[in-house]
Amino acid sequence: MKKSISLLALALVASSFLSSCKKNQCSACHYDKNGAEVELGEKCGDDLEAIEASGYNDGGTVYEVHCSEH
Amino acid sequence: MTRYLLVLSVLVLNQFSVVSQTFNGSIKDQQTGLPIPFSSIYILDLEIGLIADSSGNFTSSNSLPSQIKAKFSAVGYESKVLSIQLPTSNYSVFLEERHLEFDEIIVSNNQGAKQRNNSIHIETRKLSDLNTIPTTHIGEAISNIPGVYSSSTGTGISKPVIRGSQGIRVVTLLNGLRIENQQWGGDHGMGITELGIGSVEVIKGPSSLLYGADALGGVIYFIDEPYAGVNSQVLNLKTQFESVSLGTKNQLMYKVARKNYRLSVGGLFTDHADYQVPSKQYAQNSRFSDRSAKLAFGTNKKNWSMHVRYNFSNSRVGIPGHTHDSIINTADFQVDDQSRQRTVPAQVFFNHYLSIENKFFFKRHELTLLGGQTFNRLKEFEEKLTIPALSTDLHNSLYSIKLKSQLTESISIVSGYQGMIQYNVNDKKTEEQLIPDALTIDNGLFSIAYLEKGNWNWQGGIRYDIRSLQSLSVFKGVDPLKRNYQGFNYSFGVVRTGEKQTVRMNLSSGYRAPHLSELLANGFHHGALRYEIGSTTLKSEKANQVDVTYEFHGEHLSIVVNPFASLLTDYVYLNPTDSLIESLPVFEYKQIDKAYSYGIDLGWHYHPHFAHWLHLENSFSHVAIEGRDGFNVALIPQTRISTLVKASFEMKTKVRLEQFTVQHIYYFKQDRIAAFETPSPAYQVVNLGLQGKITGKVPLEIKMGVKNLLNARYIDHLSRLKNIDLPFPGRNYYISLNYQIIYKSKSKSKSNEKVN
Repeated sequence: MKKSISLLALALVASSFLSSCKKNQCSACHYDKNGAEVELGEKCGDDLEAIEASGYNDGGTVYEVHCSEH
Repeated sequence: MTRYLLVLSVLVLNQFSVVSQTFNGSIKDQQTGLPIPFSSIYILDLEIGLIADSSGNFTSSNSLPSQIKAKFSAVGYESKVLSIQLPTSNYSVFLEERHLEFDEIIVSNNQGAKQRNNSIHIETRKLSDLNTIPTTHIGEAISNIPGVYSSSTGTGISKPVIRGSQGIRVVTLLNGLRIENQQWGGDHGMGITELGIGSVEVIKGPSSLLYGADALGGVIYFIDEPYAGVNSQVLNLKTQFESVSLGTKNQLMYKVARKNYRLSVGGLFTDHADYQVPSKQYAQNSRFSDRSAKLAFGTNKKNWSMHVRYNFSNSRVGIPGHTHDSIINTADFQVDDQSRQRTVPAQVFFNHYLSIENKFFFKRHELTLLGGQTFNRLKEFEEKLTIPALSTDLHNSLYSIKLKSQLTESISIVSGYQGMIQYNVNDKKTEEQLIPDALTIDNGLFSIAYLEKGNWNWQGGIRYDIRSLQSLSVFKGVDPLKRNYQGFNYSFGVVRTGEKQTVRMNLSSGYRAPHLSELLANGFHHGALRYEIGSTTLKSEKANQVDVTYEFHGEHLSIVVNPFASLLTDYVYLNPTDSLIESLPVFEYKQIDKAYSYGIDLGWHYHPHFAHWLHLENSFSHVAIEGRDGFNVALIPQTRISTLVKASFEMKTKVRLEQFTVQHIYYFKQDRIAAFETPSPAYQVVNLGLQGKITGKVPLEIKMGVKNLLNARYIDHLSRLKNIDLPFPGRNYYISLNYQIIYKSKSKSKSNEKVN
């Protein structure tokens, strides 16, 4: 019984932390061109971070990319 | 020289007593003399818990010092705190039956005495009592204490407000460790979740004597749940759901205690989508999530004890009210769809709190050494999901040494030295900085004397502090600053405790050096939805308070009357102006030479003799802060009347209803407002709760009910969402489940002895 309680506790603590680990974050991205939104589709993880950092190159012009619903 | 060292060593070692002091006895009913089964014994300094057996007998197998202070308690009885000389056998403690439990042991004031004998009025509450109707956040829970309010940004951020003071003026401690988490920001939360917190003590008003600089408005002192009882294990799983935000809170704690060590470990995960407002729409981007973990380890040997505590928390909180429009349409912030997806703007916090406390027990002295390290990282995401616009780290190293000496039977002295070294550093890659890189060093010396004579207890103390503040770089055109601030503070109090009445009076002071944000701010504070402008001419602010308490403790009725008045010198305040910058209101830091704070907290608890199943609790809180010539300070809480009616039932069925609760809170209109501040109308909230249990080998406790039963539309005066007309949550159904296994080893045999 004692062992089982300890194991159950450890399992639950571990699962609690694993379940709350950061997921590979994804979001739909776009940029604004001539007053219209141009969709870039869903970007995830490192791709998302990269496109937010460097923007999107459209015909030699780099546009700022937004990846949230705000 | 060697001879002197040898003599000194012998003298010091002589202070220690014999190892493994005998401590056993029994707990009995004062009237009948019958044993009280399963009553509790808690050895305060060592944080060791024991449980008496079914005959009320207890035995400690722990190594104990020659003198201990222990609390004896049982359900339905008034607890007792006794100083006991060891070794002792067959120690008998008699407890008096009580319908009302008046006061708990106060931890925060060094004395380990019951509140009734304490010359400072300290509110102490178990977190479970504050969550009779479960709250979403610990900040919301403590606002159930008279005189304590909550300043919120949606449901994810809640900051305590004590007697009208908040932010930097309120010092938060966790088991004695001062928590520093950028609390100067109106939108920066407490940095503490309810994980493993057992109770909270609130000192209202200036308290610099014990807690140093900044404790001008008050102190919130969180105390961990006790460790498991000796030779037992506890597994506790709690889960809670709230309909208004489809919010879940899951908590797991595991505790184990053996003869000479105790360990508690746990985790908490909270996730809420945007909350629903009374119109059935949703508060856009009010979503939030918290993760936290806790570890506490305690051990003791001979005359020494050590506690190591570590807390981690990580929160992501959406900030409602974001717009790029120059003309705000407040209706845009209430939307038809509910979401919990990560978006911007948002704040992300990481907090790490580590403390190591060592206590050494001598015959008449107790030496406490506390060292701690805290780390807070604040990131604000404004336009990008993955790239913060602001990222700042706060490192804080804390140290204190405290010597408690029992000079005679009635006189004791606590003297000490406290300090901290705080380093604030910004991520230079981010586009915004709210405050410069800075180094702050605090050091303080204090001494407090306690005198107990008959029904009277006296306390008096003085303290000297020095704060060195240095910004380390040019910030927004201002050259690096270097300032020193000094504070000389005092506290004097007296309490007379009669059989049924207690009268207490306390005079105290506090000081607060201006914060870098107040000196140098000049920019948007998106989280607080305002543009802030600081002033480098600000001086230290000081407070002197007189606080009087009258308490009546009848068998069925208790009453507390607590008026107070403070003189605030060089009071710093955030003054709204009539300007807008990029649609956000502009606030300036200002200072007035004198301001006055006054008010009253009243409370009564009636437990009628003819209906022992009924409890009626009522409290009234009022505070005002004003200067000369009708000057009013902004963001002062609304006067409040809170009523709680509890009906308890004693069913014997497998599924039992234990308690029915109705809570009614009425907030009066706030029309004592600062220039350019808008008044707030009166509002009321009604909450209902049911508490029950499914019994069995391992019982399941259930709480369910509804908050804001009448679906009232209201916006508290302290809400930072007031300027975008975003109301508080509408009708909110909740359910909370609590599953606890207590497993106690009995010598070599195993048994599942008791389950709560």
